[in-house]
Amino acid sequence: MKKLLILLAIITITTSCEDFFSATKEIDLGEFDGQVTVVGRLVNTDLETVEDLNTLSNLGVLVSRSRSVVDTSNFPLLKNADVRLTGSDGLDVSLNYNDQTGYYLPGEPSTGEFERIVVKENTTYLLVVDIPGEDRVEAKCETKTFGNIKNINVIKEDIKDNSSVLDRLQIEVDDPAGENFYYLSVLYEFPDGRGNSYYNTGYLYSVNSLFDDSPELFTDELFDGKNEVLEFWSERYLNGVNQQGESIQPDNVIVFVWSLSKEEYEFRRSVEANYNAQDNPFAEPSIVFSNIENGVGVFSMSRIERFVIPWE
Amino acid sequence: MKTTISTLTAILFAIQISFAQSYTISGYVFDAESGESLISATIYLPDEGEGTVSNIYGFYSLTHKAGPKTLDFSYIGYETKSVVLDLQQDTSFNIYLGSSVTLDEVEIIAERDADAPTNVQMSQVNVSVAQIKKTPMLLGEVDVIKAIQLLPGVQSGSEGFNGLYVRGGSPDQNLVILDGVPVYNISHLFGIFSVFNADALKNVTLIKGGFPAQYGGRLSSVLDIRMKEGNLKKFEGEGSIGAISSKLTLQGPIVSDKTSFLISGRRTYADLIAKPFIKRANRNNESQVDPTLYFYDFNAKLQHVINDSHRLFLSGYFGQDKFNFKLTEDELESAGGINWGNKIGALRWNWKLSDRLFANTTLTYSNYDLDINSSFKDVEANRTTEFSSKYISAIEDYAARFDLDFIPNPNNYIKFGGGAINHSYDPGAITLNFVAEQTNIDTLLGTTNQKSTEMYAYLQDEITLGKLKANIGLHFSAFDVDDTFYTSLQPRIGLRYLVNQDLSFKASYTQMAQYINLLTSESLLLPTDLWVPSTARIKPQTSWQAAAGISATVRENYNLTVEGFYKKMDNVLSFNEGASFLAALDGDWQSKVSQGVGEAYGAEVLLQKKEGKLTGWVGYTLSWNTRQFDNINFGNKYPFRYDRRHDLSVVLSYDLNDRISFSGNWVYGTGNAVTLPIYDVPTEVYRYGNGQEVVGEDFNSYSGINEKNSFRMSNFHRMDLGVSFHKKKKWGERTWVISVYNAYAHNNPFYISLDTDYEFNEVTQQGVETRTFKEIAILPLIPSVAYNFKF
Repeated sequence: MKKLLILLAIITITTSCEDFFSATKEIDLGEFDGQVTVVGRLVNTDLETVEDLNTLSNLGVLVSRSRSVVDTSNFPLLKNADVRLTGSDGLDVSLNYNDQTGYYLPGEPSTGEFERIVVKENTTYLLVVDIPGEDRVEAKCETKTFGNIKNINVIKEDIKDNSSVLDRLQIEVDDPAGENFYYLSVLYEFPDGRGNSYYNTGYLYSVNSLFDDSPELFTDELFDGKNEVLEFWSERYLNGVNQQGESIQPDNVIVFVWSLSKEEYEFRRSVEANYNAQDNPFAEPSIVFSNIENGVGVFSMSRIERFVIPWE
Repeated sequence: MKTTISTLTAILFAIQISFAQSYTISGYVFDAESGESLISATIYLPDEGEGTVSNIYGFYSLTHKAGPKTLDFSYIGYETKSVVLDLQQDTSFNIYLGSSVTLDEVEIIAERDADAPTNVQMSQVNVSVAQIKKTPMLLGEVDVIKAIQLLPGVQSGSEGFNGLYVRGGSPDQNLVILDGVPVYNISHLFGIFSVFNADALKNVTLIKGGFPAQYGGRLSSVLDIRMKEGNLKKFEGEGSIGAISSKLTLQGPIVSDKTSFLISGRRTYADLIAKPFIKRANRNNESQVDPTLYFYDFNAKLQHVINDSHRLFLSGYFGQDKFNFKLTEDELESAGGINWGNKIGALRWNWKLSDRLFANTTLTYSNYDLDINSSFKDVEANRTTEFSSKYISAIEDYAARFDLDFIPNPNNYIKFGGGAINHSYDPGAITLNFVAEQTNIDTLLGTTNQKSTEMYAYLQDEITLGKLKANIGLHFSAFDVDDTFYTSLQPRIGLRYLVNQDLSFKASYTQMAQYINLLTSESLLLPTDLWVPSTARIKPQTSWQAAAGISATVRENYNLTVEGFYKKMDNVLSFNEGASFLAALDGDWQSKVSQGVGEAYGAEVLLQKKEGKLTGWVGYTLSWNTRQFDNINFGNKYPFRYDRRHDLSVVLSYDLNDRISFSGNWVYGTGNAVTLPIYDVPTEVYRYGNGQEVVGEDFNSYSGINEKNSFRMSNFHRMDLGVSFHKKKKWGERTWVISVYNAYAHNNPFYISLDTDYEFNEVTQQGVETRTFKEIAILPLIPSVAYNFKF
């Protein structure tokens, strides 16, 4: 037994090296050349819808540059680009850099000349970005025939908890033949007691599962070309009680139905998958969709319809 | 039944009419000491240059013209026995071969074996359990799967774990059978050890291509593991006390030469050792942690010889992993864990219908289940809040199978049969229970039970035409799930051209179909992986594979095989981008997976030495392995994670004398293909100001990937060493085994991590963030000691 222990000690000693218990090794990814980044996920701004959007990213185009994942400096905003949006329907708009927002916006927003954009079905749109000293960056996006929303019904308080309720949302859609992509969002409009309103987001769930991460983003794969009633749960947080001790009820439910171009659908889907995979070692990694030539990012055109359902 | 057998016998009799002047010699080949049947023992007529091998039940049958005959019965590690007889009638006798290895005599007489050039089967490797036991392994635990990983054509997946990727296939494409029963999860301790206790095993055979027609249901490999049957002659036992586990195997006759038993058990005890230390560490803490981490398994077998024609076997396996913890802190109690295990059973009936006809009927049961549970209880100021959840997943099979071996003459070996498997799946469901003030939720979410039936029939004939030998077969399978019915007819062809007794050329073509699938992450096999059936939407996986090569015996003791292969797989499954095993919880796992195409091709070299003081093998694989899915990587073909261009294994053991033996492995492989986010892309900007001007901005961004699996981890290599000291005792034999895993402590990457560090810069008075990619190795040099005994 003594001999065995000596042998074991010899093996251990002879195999020692300076990084014996160092279990990590740095990887050098080499030089990284950042690509021009163009993100233009535009929507129709011809309706009041625009006022309800809480992000500028659907109103303008972000022009920047990608960076190495190990680079911790900020992204640069490329402010000297010539950005032009054209459409087969005759649309021809210049987008100008707005320093307040960091986006290229249609028209001359600095002077209040904000140009409204109408997103039409069966139209091809082209976004061209010229940056001095760089190859032209461009992207194309095509819209299809949009689905027709025929009716929206809200069944109140289908399931109730202490702090929130699930309202059942029924949306009847007349889906045209061919591939279509949809996105839903819901706002509850509450009175603030001073004659104004405030809004709470309704979080959507699939009626089949609480674990479907994003039921609000879907295709017409299962109802292509049909008239279909789609059902969702919308989670509404209870906002305290009134003087009579009753829950404060919203004035309206506002449902936004987005008809997405394929580019927008692919971008939303892949970004979400990418985020899901980041903190989950068991999830499959996801490549984010890009349709930008000579660059990276996305150019898409979507139409938003806004439906106000009074809370009876 | 009787009528069917009579008709069958009549048909088979008709086939043998042309050999009317011939007689049949048949029987079983057994180990003389234990009465164990010997699989693939060689029965050879040296004067005629013809022969056969015993089947997996030890049965042999050889039909030849009348006259004086000399028969040589041989098996690796056993003395050859010659029998001289004058063949004038059908003759039946059993042969008992004695081991040629004793402690006093280590010189072994060389024999031919079933992997030799004369065998028509290609892409098959038989690894002796004795060799597996000699191979140094992680923590000294003898492991069948890790030994199989060292063979050419088999990729190991993540280092130190039990993934099996055979010729570009996925883990679910391996038909792993223990005594003919599929084993659905081959891993203990999250894949660190396999469920197979080598002490209870008799034979391990891996088939990577050229699949005989009797096998079906998986695309990439068959790992056929047979348990020992139990010693019919005398009581014996063996065991081991190791660094992480101990095991004991007992076997012996219940009625001598009639009925035997075998029972084998194993348990890890890391938790038992750690518990007192954890308790001691906890004694001054407010929170108390009580962890449990162990596995155990049992193998058992009963053998009963009814008479020379009938034998019954009842075998079973039961294993369980438990990984749980309990945390107590003030009034808060929380607990959680994951438990999983296999239960399998087989009832087998061997029936020698005639000297030329052998039947085997098997009834089997296999179950794999998993549960993940968590709970907490908070008692505070007379208010109790309780929550518990349990995630469950399972697959259960009941199956029946009937196989017939018919050997009408030396030139034909016919096998046919069929069977049915009833699968039942619970692919992930979760129960939730929540009790608090005014709230009481008790609900079940997830997928409900699903059933399917798989049926198959096969026919094959191994035909000898002079130097050419062909194994021609057909495998038919059908699958009934919900209202969908799939069928598949799969031709199987194997050819061998024998240049001389030491050299042959071989080729094969096989088609396979697979109806059950494992939803698993590419990165790691986990007990949480889900078994799901093909459905109307998810089509069965199919493949075809062609292989060609040479088999040669070099310098008597060395077998050399060189093979090239091409394999195309259709409808292979993968989780969609961003999806993981929780996919099953939303009630429609099918929408979370994609089906695509897999392609693998390459060349394998295996130089094997099975006898002598020095034994082992050198295996090398050069291969390419890709996948293509319409919804993944934007439809572009990409390398499979375990696409490994070069893979080299050297496995050697050397018996210095009857007291000391050495063993060692060295492995080298191309690094795994992984997906790394290498750049950040801004998607939104938020500019903020002080009311007059913009003073800062924040960005939303995502981390971009160029192509899936486009980055390679560093190549890995590792040496494992072992030395065994044997000593004969009055009561039997003991062996001390000292082994070192990763003897030169090479940091083989297990995964890649993007690390972020923050440092405070005194000059700028600001924090500085730095990010670096690091390869993380988790298995440095690991020594171990084990004490083995045998009586």
